[in-house]
Amino acid sequence: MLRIRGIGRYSYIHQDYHMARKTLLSVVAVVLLVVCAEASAQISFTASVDKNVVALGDTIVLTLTLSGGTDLPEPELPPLIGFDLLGEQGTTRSIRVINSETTYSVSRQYVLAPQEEGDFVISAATLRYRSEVYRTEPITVKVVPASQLPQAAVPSIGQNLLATLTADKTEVFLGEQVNLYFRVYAREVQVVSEANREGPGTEGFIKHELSARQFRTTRDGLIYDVIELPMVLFPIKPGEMTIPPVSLTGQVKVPVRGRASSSFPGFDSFFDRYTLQPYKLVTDAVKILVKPLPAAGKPDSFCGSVGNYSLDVFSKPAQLKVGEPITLTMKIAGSGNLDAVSAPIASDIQNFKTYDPEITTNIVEKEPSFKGEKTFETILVPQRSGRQVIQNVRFSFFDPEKKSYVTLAKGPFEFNVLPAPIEPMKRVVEVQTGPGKTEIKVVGEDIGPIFTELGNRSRPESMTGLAFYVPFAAPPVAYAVMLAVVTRKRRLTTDVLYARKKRATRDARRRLALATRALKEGDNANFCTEITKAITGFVADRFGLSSAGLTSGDVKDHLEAAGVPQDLVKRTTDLLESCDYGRFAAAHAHDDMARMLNGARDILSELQRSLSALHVSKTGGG
Amino acid sequence: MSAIQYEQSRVARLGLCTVASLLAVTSLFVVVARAESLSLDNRTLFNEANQAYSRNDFGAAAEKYQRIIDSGEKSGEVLYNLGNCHFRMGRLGMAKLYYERARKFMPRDHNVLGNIALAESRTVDKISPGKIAAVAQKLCVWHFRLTGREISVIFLAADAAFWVCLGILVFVRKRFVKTAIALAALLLVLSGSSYALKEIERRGLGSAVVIADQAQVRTGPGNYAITFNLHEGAQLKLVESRDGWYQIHLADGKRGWIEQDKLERI
Repeated sequence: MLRIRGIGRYSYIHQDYHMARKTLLSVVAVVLLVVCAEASAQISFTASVDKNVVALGDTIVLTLTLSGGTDLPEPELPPLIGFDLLGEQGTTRSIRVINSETTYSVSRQYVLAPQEEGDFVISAATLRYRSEVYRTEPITVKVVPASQLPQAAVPSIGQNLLATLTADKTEVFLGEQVNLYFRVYAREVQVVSEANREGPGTEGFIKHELSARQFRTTRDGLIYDVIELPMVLFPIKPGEMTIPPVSLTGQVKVPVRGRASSSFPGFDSFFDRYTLQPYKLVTDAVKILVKPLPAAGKPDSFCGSVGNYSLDVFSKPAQLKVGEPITLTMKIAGSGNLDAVSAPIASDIQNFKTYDPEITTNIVEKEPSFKGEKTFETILVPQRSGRQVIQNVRFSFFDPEKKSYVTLAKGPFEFNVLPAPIEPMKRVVEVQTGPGKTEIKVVGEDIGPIFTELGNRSRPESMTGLAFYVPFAAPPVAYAVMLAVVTRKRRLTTDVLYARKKRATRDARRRLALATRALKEGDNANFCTEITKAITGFVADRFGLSSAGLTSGDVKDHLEAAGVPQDLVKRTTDLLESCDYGRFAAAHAHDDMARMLNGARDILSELQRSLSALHVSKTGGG
Repeated sequence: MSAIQYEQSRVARLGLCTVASLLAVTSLFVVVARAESLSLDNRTLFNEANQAYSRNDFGAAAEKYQRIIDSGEKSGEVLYNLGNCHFRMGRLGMAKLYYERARKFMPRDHNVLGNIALAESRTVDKISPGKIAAVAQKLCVWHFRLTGREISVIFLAADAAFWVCLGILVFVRKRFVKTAIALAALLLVLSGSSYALKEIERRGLGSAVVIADQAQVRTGPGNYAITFNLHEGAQLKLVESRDGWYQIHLADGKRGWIEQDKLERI
C-alpha cells in the first residue's frame, strides 16, 4: 500500500515537476520573445481623431497610439485649448506578429467636447521613454454649429477618399533615381479593387512599377487606409519634365447608417451594411527638373553609369597555357540603375582573345533606391606565352550625392602563360582485322606540322594576258599556215598546168636575163631568140600550150581570144616580128636591142597583170 | 628520187618542224609557269618564324609569317604555317582562312586538306553542300585539285596537242592519230571549261570565312530581320557587295546579308 502510495506520490511529484518545467520554459520563451521584440522594435507614437469637423455639442475621440514596446509609459496629453476632456473612453492592446516580427501597440481613447465654434489645434502629445521624447503631429479640428453639419445617412465620399501623386525628389541628375508614389487614401469607405487607372505618363523616364502595398496612416489628424503604388523612375533626358496627373475611377463601398436593425443582426450586418458608389479621383501633376551630367571631369572610362557603386575584380587561374581560358569576374555593387551599368574596361588585353561577358544582375532592393550587384564574367584566352599583365580594370560613374565623377580601378592582374602543348596529329589507319587482332583506335587529333622547307613559289591564279593568249592562238595559226603551204606544194607537184602557170613569169624573167647577157655580149641572134622564147614561153605556159612552133600569129590569136587589149596584143606581135627580123634578116643596133629588151619587160609585166585580171574577172563572174 | 617524192619529203620535214616548234613554245610557257622561291630576306624570316613556332611562341611566329605575306611574296607553305599559328592561338576563323588561302597554292597537299577538315570539324555551323554540288565535286575532281595556273598550262598543252595532231593528220592518216585528236579535243573541252570557271571565280567576289565569334545573317543589307547566325570558321560564297554588307550564299542553299567586317575574303 505504502509502496503503492509511494509510487502514486512519486507520480504526482513527477507530474508537478513536468508542469513546472513546462511553465518555466513557456515563461522563458515569452521573456525571450519580448526581449527580442524589445530589441528589434521601433517606437511609434501617433495621434488621431475620429473626425476633424465636429458640431458644437457633439464629441470627438482623440486616440493616442503607442507601439514598439511593452513597458511604454503613459503618454502626456497636451493642453487642450477649446476642448473639455470628458474622460478616457478605454484602452486597446494588441500584439501583431508579421514575419516573425512582433509588434505591441496600445491605443488610448479620450473623449473631448468642443467649447465653442472655430478652428482649434490639438497640440502634440508627448511620450518620454528611455531618455527619448516622442511627439505626435498637431491636429486641427473645425467646430461648426450643429445646424451646419450634414446629417446624411450615408457619409459623403469627399474627404473620405482622395488620391495623391508625389515624388521624393523634384530635382535630379540625368540617370538618378526618383521614386514616384501614387496613393489612394480611404476613410470610412472601402475601395473596390476593380478600378481603372490612367497614368502616370512617364515620357522621358525609364519606369519600374513596384507592387502595391496597403498600410494605415494619419493625415490631418484622421486615420486613413492607404493603397500605395510606388514607381521607380530613371530620367533619360535632361530638362524640366512634367508627369501628368493620374486619374482613378471605380466604386467604393460606403456603409449605410441609420437603418433599423434586422431581427437577425448577423444577417443584417452581413448583407446590408454598405452601398456601392462610383468615384473619380484626379491627382496633381508632378514637375521634376532633370539636370544634365557635368561635362567637366568626365573620365574616359565613363559609360553613363549614375549612382554609387563599388568594384570588385578577381580572375582565375593565374597560371595556364596558351589557348586556355581565364575567367575575369568584375562585380559592381551599389545603388543606382544597375540595368544601365556597362562593363568595366580592362586595359592591355591585346594579347588576349576576349569573348562577350556573361552578365548577371541581382537587385535586392528597389526602394527607396535600387540596390544590388551586377556581375560581368568574361573569358580571356591568352594568345602568347610568357608573363601577361592586365594593368587595371576601370569603372567610372557619376555620384549624384557628391555631384562628381568617381573612377574605381583594380589591378594589376598577372598571368603566367605557358606554351601550349603539341598534341600528336590524328592518324586514321584502316586495319584489316584478323584472328587475334584488333582495330587501331584513333586516340587524338591535331593539325599537321608546319612546313620547314619552301617549295617552288608558283602563282595559283590562272594565266591571262599575252602570256596566255599568244601560246593559245599560235597552234591554230601555225596549223593554218602549214596547211596552206602543204596544199600549194601538193598542187604544184600534181597539177602540171597549174605548175606551168605559176612558173610562167619566173621562166620568162629567166629568158630575159639571158637576153640581157646576150645584149652585153653583142650576140644579136641569141638576144632575139631569148626574147622570143620569153614571150612565147610565157603565153604557152599561161595557156597550157606547147611553146614549140608557137608563132606570133598563134600568140595573137590566143591573146585576143583571152580578151587582152588590142594595143598590148599589137605591141606583143610587133616585138615578136621584130625579133624574127633580127634573127633571120639584119642585126639590130645596140640601142634598138636595149629598147626591145625594155619593151619585152614591159609587155611581160602588162601581160601578167592583164591575164591575172582577166582570170580574176572570169572566176569572179563565173 | 622523183620530184614528187622529193616534194613530199620536204613537206613532211616542214610539218615535223612545225610540230616541234609548237611543242617548244608550249614547253617554254610551262617552264615560265614554274616560279622562283622567296627572296633571301623572306627565307630568313621564314626560318625565324619556324623556330618561334617550335618554341610554341605562336604569336611571334604569326607576326613573322604575316610580314612575309605583307611583303607581297606569297607562298602556300607560309600561308599554311600562319594558319597553324592561328589554330594554336584558338582563332579558328583565321586558321580556316589561311588554310583555304594555302589550298589555292597547294590544292593536293594532304596536310593542308587534313587541317581544313579538322578546322571544319571544330566549327559550330555544319553546312552540307547540296546533292548536285556534291556530285559535281566528285565528277570534276581535277577542278578542285588543280590550281588555276596548272589548269591554264593543261589547257594550253591540250590546245597545242590538238592542233599538232591535226597537223600530223595531214601527213599521216592513221587511226591512232584520229584517236589522239579526239582525246586532245576532250582534254581541251574539259580543261577549257575548268579554266573558264576559275576565271569566273577569280573575277567574282569569291568565298569568305567568318572570323567574328558570331555573325548575324539578315534578310537585307541594314537593319533587317535576323534569319540565322553564323559562327567563327563558317565558309560561304559572296554574291554581292553593298554599303558595308555582303550578300552571301551558303553551300546548303541558304542566303542572306552579313556585315563585311565579320568576314575575311579568301
